[in-house]
Amino acid sequence: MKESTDSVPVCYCKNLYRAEIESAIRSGASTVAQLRERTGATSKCYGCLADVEDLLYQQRLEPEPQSRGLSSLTTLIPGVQVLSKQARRAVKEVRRELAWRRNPWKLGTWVVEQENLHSRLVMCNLECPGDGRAFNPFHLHIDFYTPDGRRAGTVHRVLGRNQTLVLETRDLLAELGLSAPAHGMLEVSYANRYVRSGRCYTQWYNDVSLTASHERRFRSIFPARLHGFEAVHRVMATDRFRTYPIVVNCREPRFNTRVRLARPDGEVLRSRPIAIPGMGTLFRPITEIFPLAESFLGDQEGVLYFETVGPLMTYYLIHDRQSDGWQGQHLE
Amino acid sequence: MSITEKVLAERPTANELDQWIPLYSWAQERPDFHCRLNIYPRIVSRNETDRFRCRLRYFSRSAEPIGEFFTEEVTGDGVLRLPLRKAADAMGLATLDGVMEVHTFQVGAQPATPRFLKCWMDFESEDGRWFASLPCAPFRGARKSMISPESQVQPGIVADDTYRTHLLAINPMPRSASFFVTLYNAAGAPLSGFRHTLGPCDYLVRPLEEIYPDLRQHFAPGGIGSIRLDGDYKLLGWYIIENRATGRVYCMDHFAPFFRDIRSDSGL
Repeated sequence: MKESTDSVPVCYCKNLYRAEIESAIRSGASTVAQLRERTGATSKCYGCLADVEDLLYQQRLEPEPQSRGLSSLTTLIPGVQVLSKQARRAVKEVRRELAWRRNPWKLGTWVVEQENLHSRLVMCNLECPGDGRAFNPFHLHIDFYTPDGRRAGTVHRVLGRNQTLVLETRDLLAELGLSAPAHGMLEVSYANRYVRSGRCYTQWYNDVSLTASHERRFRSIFPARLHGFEAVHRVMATDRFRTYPIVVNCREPRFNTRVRLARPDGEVLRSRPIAIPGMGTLFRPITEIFPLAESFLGDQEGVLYFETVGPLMTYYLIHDRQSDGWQGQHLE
Repeated sequence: MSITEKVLAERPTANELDQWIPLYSWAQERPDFHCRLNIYPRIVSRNETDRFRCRLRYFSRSAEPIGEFFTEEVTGDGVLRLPLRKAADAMGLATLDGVMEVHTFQVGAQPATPRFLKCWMDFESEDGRWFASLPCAPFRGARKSMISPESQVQPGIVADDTYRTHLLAINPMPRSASFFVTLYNAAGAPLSGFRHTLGPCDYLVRPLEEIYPDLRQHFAPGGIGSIRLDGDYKLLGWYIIENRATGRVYCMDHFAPFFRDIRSDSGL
């Protein structure tokens, strides 16, 4: 949540500022519904919901004045409460730092180097207006995992202020003593605590097309999908287009699941098992996963459903065999 | 305590929202250019009897929607593929050239977390030059820890002999907003000065080399740099990468905010 919000509305629809929402919270609104009733926030586009929740959450975290045990001290020595707030903030910061040291951010992406498809990792460290802290160089540890889950090696990079890192997969492979064709997961560990602009983007390209997507988060970050399953929503197996699901298992244990291919009319091909080694990758055309996909789908676009939830990082690429172009995106 | 329990404990008010938040996308529908909306609720539903519906509101440079369209229902294990031609016809419009608000909701029930149902808009042209897919984006409301939501960033802007990049910025709010664009080459040198004001529910799409004619030289020799977009408030930014020789577009994606950390349920 943005910290200095005094000059920026929290709720744009109702033009509500932080002070007005805090005032409503202080006067007894303890839920989003109550705040909505009193102020009108989160009643139109819901865009302010996260900010409103943060304000409510902060209010919950704030101990009651009686429980601080400082009221008498504050009365005796003016300014102690201010110091106490600073101290609490410092303790919170140290705790965060320790937590991060134990479990640094690890983001991952998938790269490939083959005859008709190349890739590169792109990251930047841009300064952000309004953030007063100095932007130290980003120290990155980049591990490359082969499709069978073996860690093939690590490279280190430093990303200076406002710089953009471009790591071509062919250069990475050469640095690690590996040869193309190859593909696999890049796991990027941050030696800085804040992510800022330093997310991992990947470009897959050749002379015809360039397509891009970004990293998926995993390991230290909770799974985003708490209620559903993964699905590749655009599966094509025509003369011209061929879909390649890309599934990376981001944890050590082998991931086993069954997948089924469905047509828009509801017809489903018998499900098939797939197994991905820990930290390994599946990158195959749909016609190899389902040999009957071409005749089953015809000109229609199908959906590939996973039947188990897992710590997966997923993308898809669609190969235009007419032009040799590739279109890619991440899945949710 | 499990991770899920921790997350839910950290977000005690998450379920108080009666429906998901809306998403926004660029909308273009012409005889030679088509958009298609893709929604598959299975990413948030394990129940085949869950029912979902979507309300589309089309804006074209005005604070009030030009048209509204409700899709048919789709079940938890279904896929909704809606050509925007169908929505345009229902709205009585020959073409679409504006911003589409996509608001999916669960019929007869509160939706589960996360805050929105992600969906994609496909863009394809009759001549085969466009074959791209764009994730629709929320204005605000996805739970993220950001340094500044007003500023957004995209590493990997390309301006070389083979490719060029277009900026696509959308203002989904019913008031005007200004933004300015800064481009950084790989070494970190900035190129700035472009400022633009977007009207209510308006969009801008323009090649970056038209905004900054020296961009290609600035990005040389690698041809790759990064972009930062700073708005009066959060605007929605995307980029489009085009092959110079063939005009083919296979790449569209969204900008990202400056994260403090990543605890987002947005996938952005």
